[in-house]
Amino acid sequence: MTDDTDHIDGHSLESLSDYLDRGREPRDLTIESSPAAQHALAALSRLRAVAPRVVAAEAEFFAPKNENWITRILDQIGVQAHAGRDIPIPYDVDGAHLWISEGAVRALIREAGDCTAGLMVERVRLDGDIDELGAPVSIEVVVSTFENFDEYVVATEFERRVRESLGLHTDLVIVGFTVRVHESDLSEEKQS
Amino acid sequence: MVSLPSRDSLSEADDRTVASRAADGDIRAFEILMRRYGSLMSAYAARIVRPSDAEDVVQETFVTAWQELPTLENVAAVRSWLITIVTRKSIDRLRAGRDQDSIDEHEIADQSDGPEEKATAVSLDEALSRVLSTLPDDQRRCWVLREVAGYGYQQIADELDLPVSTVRGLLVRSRKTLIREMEAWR
Repeated sequence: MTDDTDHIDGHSLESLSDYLDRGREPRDLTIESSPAAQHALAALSRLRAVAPRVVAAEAEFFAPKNENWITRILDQIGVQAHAGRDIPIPYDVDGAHLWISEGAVRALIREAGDCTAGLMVERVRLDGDIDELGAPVSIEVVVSTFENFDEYVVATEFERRVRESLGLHTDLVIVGFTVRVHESDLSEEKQS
Repeated sequence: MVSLPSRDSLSEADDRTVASRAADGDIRAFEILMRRYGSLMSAYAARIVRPSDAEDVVQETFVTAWQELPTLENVAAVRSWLITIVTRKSIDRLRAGRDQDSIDEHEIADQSDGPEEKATAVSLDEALSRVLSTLPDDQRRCWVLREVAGYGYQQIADELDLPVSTVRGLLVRSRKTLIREMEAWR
């Protein structure tokens, strides 16, 4: 089945590919000293280097033709949103149970970030027995900050907004609030 | 109230930021990821399955991605992670089709379904992309799995239900054809 009829100074394209796969180890002088084999090796490595680009080259051609494709996926995953734990909300009626999901609290924190100039929320972690009413909770948020914004000022404003929002929508007892800042990749005048 | 950053800045944010938010349950961020990589995922799938099946594969890919994103450690590498998933889903689809019937062996209709029908290629990448589309299905699949997905010979043989020697032969032929085109382009 193999197509090994044309040898390159005694080497097949297949054996040269294997040699390349092995990182040209152990060193084979019959390959390394043959201009023809070197040429083939160069072509093979070049082809390998462009391979990911080749598949991506005409991605637009293969783009989903149906504009609804995103909606269809969103419909499918909407029912399995990452709700996380249930956080109880006190309510003065016997037998009534109110709660807000952990996912909704994370969304509130992201929203507070979206309303704060100069940062963007990446991850939110709620530590503590949040499914028990009144349990102390620590919040850790990873954010990106934009260039030309004072991180301290931005983080302070962000915390204020988060506390305000969570005070309005939840009964969480926040005992710790940590903002970890990632380097920003967002600024338009991005410079390294 | 200053409402910046809002939708626009999130769609311009880097993969790490967008994928982090999506992993945290931000469906809007996930939508941005889908818009960013939908075409690429579709292009990958179409190199392995029939182009008409690519859209379903992409859908399965993103549904799985949404479920598993919270467990992804290096969110900055979401692109290559998605490629891993789409490759897996494409192979699954291929295997399912093969189990169901053997008519798929002749995918004649798909041969005229590639981008090579368009006007002249303007770059080496495009030229090779078109040659790739004209390769016989097995050759193209082997090449993509080996050179792009990084699968080993044995792994490809297992996934495609082919003897390893056949996989090696198919790879040699696909490489020869692509190298010929690449040299001609110089």
